[in-house]
Amino acid sequence: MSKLPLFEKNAYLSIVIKDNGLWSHLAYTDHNASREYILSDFTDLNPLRLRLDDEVFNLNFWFEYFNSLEKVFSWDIVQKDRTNIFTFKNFLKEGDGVSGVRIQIDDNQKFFSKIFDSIRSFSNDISLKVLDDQYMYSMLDGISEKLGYEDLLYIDMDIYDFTVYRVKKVFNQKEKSIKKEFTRSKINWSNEFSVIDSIQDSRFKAFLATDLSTSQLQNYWGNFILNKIFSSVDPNILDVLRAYSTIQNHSIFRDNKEKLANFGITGQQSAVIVSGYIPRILGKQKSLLSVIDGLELSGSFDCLWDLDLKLLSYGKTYANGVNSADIILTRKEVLSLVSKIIIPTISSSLNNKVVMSGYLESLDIQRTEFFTLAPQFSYILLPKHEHKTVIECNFKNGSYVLPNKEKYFSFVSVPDSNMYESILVDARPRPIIYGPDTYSNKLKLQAWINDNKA
Amino acid sequence: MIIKHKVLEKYNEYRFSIPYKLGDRVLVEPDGKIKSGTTLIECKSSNRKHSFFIPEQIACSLKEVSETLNCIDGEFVKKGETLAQKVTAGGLMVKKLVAPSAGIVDLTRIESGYIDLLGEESVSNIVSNFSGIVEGSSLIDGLMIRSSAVALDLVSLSDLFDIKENTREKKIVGEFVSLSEGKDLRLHSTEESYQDKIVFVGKYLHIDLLHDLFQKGASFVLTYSMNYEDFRRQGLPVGIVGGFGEIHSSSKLLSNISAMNGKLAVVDYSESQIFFVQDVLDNLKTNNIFLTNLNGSTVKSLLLSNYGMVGQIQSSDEEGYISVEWENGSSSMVDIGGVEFITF
Repeated sequence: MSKLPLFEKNAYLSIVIKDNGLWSHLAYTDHNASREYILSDFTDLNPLRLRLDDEVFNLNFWFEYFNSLEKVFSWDIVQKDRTNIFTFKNFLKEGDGVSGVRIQIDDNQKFFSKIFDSIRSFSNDISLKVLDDQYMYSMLDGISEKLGYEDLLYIDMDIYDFTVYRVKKVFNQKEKSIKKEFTRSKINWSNEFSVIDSIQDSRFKAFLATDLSTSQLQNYWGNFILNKIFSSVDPNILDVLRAYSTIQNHSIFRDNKEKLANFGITGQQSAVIVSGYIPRILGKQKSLLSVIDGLELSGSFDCLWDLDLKLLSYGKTYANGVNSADIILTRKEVLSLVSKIIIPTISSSLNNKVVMSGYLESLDIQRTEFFTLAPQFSYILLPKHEHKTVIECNFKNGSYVLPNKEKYFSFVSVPDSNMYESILVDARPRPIIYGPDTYSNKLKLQAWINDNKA
Repeated sequence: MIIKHKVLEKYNEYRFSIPYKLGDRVLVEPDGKIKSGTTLIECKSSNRKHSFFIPEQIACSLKEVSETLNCIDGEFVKKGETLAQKVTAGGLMVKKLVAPSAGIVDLTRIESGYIDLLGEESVSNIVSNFSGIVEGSSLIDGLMIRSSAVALDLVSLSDLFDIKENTREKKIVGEFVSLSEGKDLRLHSTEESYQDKIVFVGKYLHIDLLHDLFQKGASFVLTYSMNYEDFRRQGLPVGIVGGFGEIHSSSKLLSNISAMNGKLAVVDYSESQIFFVQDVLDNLKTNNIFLTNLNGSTVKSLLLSNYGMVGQIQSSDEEGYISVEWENGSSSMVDIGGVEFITF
């Protein structure tokens, strides 16, 4: 692999096709001038979802796509003086040309081979890659090394596919050495009827807090599944989606207990990366509620978000660092801000009592205190900070954090490196019990996340 | 970037075939040109004297239908003979379907639960109302034609996943019939027969109308919306254009679909689309795939509060919100992620 000159200016276009979406990320770097950014665009392919395999989704589509992308990014990408052949403009300067174009297609993408063929016949200048398990393993391997995580989960939550990848350092007793273990746990729904009908399952109803009739619920859910939306404030849909993703995560956990056991409670540096369509709709707090309850997580770990698929796009590039062959990117452009997840062990008798009090302090922020009552699922947004910020949490009334029953917990947020944007303290006593009916769930969710809308 | 959903997509080189039976006469030659008015096939068919939906007649499920039959395809039965029967209550009760008159048993639609009694044979012609080229003909493949067509996406097909994998290529070909402008809610149809027709019922399909249409011989029913529970339970071939439940339906969209009345239509299960064979009209010329200007664009709401309603964007802001004037005269500010951009 050839190395890139570190300080030369560079621009690279990476596109991911996944779950009927096109994510484009144009990365520009000028490390000499400490200038680095990624321009991003998302194109929903759902309006063409039934036509991705026919003449509508052809060369003309890609011509139009790249021409339109130029306007969106205000960047000359296409060589326009060659009328007969489509070629990309070589990189000259900021806003003019790219040093390479890569398209990665998810192996679960519908009409995968048709899309692959249409790109291949469109241009040979595009580096075509497949997003498969092998890619995920090598990317997560690199990311975990780079970030120093010994146990890393990548949770991809789409409507039809739920996948949990795990890369974990384990001690091999025989060879007396530390090795990395990769696992994948997955649920895949074959068609939309299975997904829509799944809400009739009694287990699904156990997680539900919305009190619509079954008929109304099916119509709502059916319309949502068949016509994807990218934003919703409808409390009924958000609740059904939360219940749906919780039961999917829980089914994955139940079927793959050995693969997913002991995350966050072994004392290893642990993190979870959340991605997919569902978290984009649900928002961070409810997505975490679904993940924590579904996978029965406890202890403490970091949470990163890959909602715009930047990590999927440039994860390997970032992990390769200066050995990268496409572009050299740093953490702040590729990775999201971090949420610290703390799930203490709490006695069930501590209703409305303080189980955690903490503070944060830095050069630019005065000491600010915060606390969590049981049984809150408390998502605390940290103020924006430009200096290193120390965050300390003290656990009270007999509560503690596994594995060492710690009553004191602290970490440091470092801007431009490992910057935390929020803390989530799940102060609900275990086991988490949903049901027995939607009304009880409504009351519970109000107490946990102050979800009056549900 | 935003892709516009073309409600009616144009196809210049659409290939399809019209099935025909032994005894029918193909009146066009391979490579021959077809014009509007060309007679394509002379069909010999018997009229359906009676049609029975067996699950309704003897209270059995659709899966049990084949076990209840007492007759075979093509058999001549006399008045009073048993066509199907179901034994219940441990053999104490027998529910029977008897022939109300003599006729020939037709089990062509038995998978949909229907048994037909045929009467006299008559001759009818399939006449083209489009132009195209004949690519060939055979009893297996039917009369193969290349023509232009416009396609409408079906958000769902009721029996798509019930049919076997090797018949996923299933296509239903027939004359497209729209019940009036499709705006009224109907419980019964007006015509005496919809034999082998693809019927568009309009904004909402009631289960009574569905059974009425299949009773009268319809081969496929298209609707803008329907209750999901009915859709999944009924087991007949139904296509949905808009969505489930009693949702808004755009009058412009309904009249565009109704305007296809009388055209030859092909329901393509593998594509989940219905193709209307026609000479492509000027107003269906290809537009740009991507949206160039938000203001003035036509959108369809995907938000549950006014799902299916069509409107025009009045203004937009940088936060991703758009102000839309809906077709019912109301205006609202919505998130751009909650609408679909469409062109008719």
